[in-house]
This record gives sequence, structure tokens and C-alpha cells, in this order.
Amino acid sequence: MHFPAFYLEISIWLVILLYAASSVFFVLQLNFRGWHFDRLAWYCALLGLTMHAVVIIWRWLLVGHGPYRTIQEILVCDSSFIVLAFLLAVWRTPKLRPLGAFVMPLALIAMGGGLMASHEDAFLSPSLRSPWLVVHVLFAKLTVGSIAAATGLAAVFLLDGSRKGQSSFRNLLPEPEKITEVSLRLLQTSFIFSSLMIIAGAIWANDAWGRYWGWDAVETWSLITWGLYGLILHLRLAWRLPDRGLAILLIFALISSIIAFFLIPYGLESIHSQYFRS
Amino acid sequence: MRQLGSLKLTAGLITAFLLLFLLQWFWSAFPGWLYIPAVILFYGNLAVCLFIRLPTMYYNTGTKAGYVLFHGGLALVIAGALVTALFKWEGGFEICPGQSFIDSAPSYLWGKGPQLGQIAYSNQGFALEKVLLEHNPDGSIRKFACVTTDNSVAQHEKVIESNHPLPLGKGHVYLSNRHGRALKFKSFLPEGNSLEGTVHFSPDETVKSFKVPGLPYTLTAEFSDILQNNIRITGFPGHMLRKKHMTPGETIILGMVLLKYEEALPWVGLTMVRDPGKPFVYAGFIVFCIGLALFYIYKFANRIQK
Repeated sequence: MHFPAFYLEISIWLVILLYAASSVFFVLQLNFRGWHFDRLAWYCALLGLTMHAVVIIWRWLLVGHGPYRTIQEILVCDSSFIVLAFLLAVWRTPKLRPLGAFVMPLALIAMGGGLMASHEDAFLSPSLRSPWLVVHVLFAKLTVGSIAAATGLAAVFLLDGSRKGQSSFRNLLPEPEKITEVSLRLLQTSFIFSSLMIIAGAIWANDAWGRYWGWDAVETWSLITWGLYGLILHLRLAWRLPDRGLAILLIFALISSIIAFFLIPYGLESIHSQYFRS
Repeated sequence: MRQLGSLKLTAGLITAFLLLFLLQWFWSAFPGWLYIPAVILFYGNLAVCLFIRLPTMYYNTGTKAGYVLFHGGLALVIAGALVTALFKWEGGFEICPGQSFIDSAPSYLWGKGPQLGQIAYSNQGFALEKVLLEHNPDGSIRKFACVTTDNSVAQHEKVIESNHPLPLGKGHVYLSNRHGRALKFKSFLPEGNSLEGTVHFSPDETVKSFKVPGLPYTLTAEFSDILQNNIRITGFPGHMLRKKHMTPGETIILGMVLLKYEEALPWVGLTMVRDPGKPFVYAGFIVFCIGLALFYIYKFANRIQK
């Protein structure tokens, strides 16, 4: 192993350690509220994310391409976007902090899954060597991060609503209206990122293949997902969709995103396969 | 965190990227040591910006312009897609180094064209000559160079690379991912004349049947390695030939005919596209993004007013 690669490996494990510590502290906070474990958890998550960003840039410089080639790179990088979306939500609404008990383990699982996946690098076809790759893929990652965080909040809203009366967990969370507002804000964010991802992909496809749209399986599912985000936004903003309805539809939006971003690219033959299976 | 969501930072970064792009430094800067942190900063800025500035309810008077432009952009994209569906013209052809391509010659095309579902010619009065190819290590084509003639006006050497199409006539020529080896055969007939034929192999094709030029025989050529020129020929009625390994320049006798395997040349697929709907779609993207930006500008202006 090369010297920088060795330190990079150590740094990745340090990020995992920090995320694990943050997860533990967030879970402890649910049961020992007087001990201020949440502050520790917050600082661990923040430090972990900073280190995660450093690791991503460092690896980018070391291998000469961004975190979008192997399944390992994709999952490790996507987990950082989940943490980023969560920290942004908490920074805006500090009462959302207890949600870290759900979000941080999710990021940790994504990191672990990524590290266990194959990291074999392969030859990148000429049409994929374009600056548009960075623009297109990073907007896709931001879309996934935002919608995952929005759906996490929606799930908490639904779980919370199913409980009768006051519970200790209920007291930790902000008002349901606040959870809905933040999840709606995150849905808007993912809708915009998804739009920009599709626009960047269309411009790139036109440069590479001479067509901006090809009804490829990946493209079609991205459009379906984008349409679903738009539909939910319009149902909420124009037709006053109730909070519970919004939360349920957000879960469908996440399912559609998982199909579009993870299942279709790896499961179906398409022109995008050369990137996802390279 | 608020500084990371600053609109001034967004404007500064966009200006810097635009300036780099205009000064043609962008391509060399990508992916350099300065580009990576800059692009990550830009994405961080966008994420924070979007999150903190987007109003939850934006159906009010101040953002109506943004709302109208946002949806107007979408309508323009759909209109452009309709123009594309009705009037787009697309075709492809394969070419080897040293060969010429004249777009009025009946040497191609597939796909959609003025005569839907039929062989069509672009007939826009251009030619590609003196073709040169540069390869990647896996045999795919990195660069296509040729001398072009556009409407009888000779052009200098032109280059087509992946993601960099060449504008020609009313359309663009793209380097497609299709490539491989073209095996050239020559039949020397008993009458003294000779006939030529070519078999095109793609990297995923190892076996291909072909008709011997000038004879009603079908042979099967087997390419064990696309980067090697050696082939294995099988077939021929009457069991005169079962299997034969051949290198370029070798000959075999098939009945009264001498068949020569002349050479194996690389070939590349080019795609020609003319899409009148594209400008509408791109205009739609721009209007869509302006509409989106107006939501934020309104929010920003409101904050300044307060």
C-alpha cells in the first residue's frame, strides 16, 4: 500500500468511528436527557463530516477522478450528503437533533456498505470523461441526500402521529408542523437539484451522443421521480395536501428515487450501464 | 454556515467559472487541484443557499414572475421536444483511416431522416477526407481527425472527440462509441479480375459470417482478439476448408478463386444529427433557471428591504 493511501484508509476509518460515536451519543440522548449527549453527538457528526469532505477531496486528488465511479465511492460519498442534509436541517431547526438517532446510523450503514462493496476501478469510456460528469453526478447526490432527509422526517412524523398521548420521545421533537415545514423545504431542495441534474445530463448527452433525451430506462425513471417531486409540491402548495398525506407521499418519493438512482442503473441494460457497471 | 449560503459567494464563484470558461482555461483546470475545492465549495454554497432561502410558500405576488418563468421554461422544453420529435434528422456511418466520406454517396444512413425508415442521404454537400484515428489503450477511438469540405469549400483539418462534435452543414457530426476492426478481403477470379469486400467487427463480436466477394460461398471469420490482426477462417462447402489461421497478406484457394486477406483496419462509427428543436429546449432550460433564480432574488431583496 502506498504511503498516502495508507493514511487515507486510516482517515476513512476515523470518519466511521466519529459517525459511530455520534450515533451512540444520539441514541443515549433519547434515554439520558440530562447528560447532554446530543451536544457530543453533534460535534462528532460535524467533525466526521469535515473529515469526510477532506477524505473525499484527498482521494479525488490521489486517484484523479471524483467519487462517482465505483459502488464503493458512490456509497461512501452519498453517506456524506445524508449527514450534510441532516446537519443543515438541525442547524436550521435545533429541535430536530434527536433525529440523529435515526439518520447517523443510516449514514454509518451506507459507509459500511460502501467499504464492503467492490472498489475495483475500471477504464472510463471517452464519452464519460467530461466536466458534466461532476455537475450531473453531484446534483444527483444532493438530490438523494435531500430526499432521504425529507423522508426520514416524514417517517418520524408518521411514527410520532401513531402514538397516543405524550411520550418521552414526543417531548424531544419539535412540533409536527415544524417537522412538516422542514421536510417540505428539503423536498423543494431535492426537486431543484433533480431539475438541475436532468438539465446537466441533457446538455452532456447532447454533446456526447447528439441527443438531449433518449427515453433510456435511467432517464425515464429520473423523469418519473422528478415528476413525483413536482406533483407532491403542487398537491401541498396548491391543493393544501394534509401533513399526513405529505409524509406518506414523501415515502413514495424516496422509493421512486431508490429505483431511479440505485435499482434501475444496476439492474437494467441501458446506455447508462457503461458508467454504472464500468 | 450563513457565510457559506451567501449569494455574493454564489455570484463570485459563477463569475469565476464563467471567466475560466471564456478564457479557455476551464478544460485544463478540470480536474485540477484548484477546481476540486472550488466546485465542492460551489455545491456546498448551493445546498445551504437553497435550504435557507427558499420560501416554503411561494405563491405570492412578489414571486409570480419567477413562477411564470419557471413553468414557461418547462413549456418551452416540451415545445422543443415536440419540434425534435417531428423534425430531427439522424444517421450514422462507419469509416476507416485513409477513407473518404461524401454525404451524397449512398454509403449510409440508418435511423430517422427525410425518408423515415429508409436509407437516406444527408445531401448537405460536405465530405470527410484523409481520415486519421487515435486510439485509447482498450482499442476505442479517442480522436478522429480529417480534412473537411463544406459546400465545396475546403476546410482545414478538423477534429472530432467524444463530447466535442464537429459542426458541419446544418448539423453536427459526433464520434459514437461504435468502433472495431474492418477486415479487407480480395477475391482473384479465374477471369483475371478481382473483387473487394470488407467485414466489420465490433469488440463484442468475435465471430462473423461473410460472403466471399464474387462467389456464392459464405465463410465465418473468428477474431480472437480485437487488438490482434490474426483471424481464423472456417466453413466452405465441400469441406475443402475447415479451419485456417490467417495473418494479413495471406491467401487461400477456394475452388477456382484465390482469396486474399489484405489487412485489418480500425473503423469508427460517426453519427450525424440535425435537431431544430434543440435551441428551444436549451432556451427552455435557461428560462427555467431564471425563473428559479427569481424566487431567491425576491427573497434576498425582501431581506435587504427589512
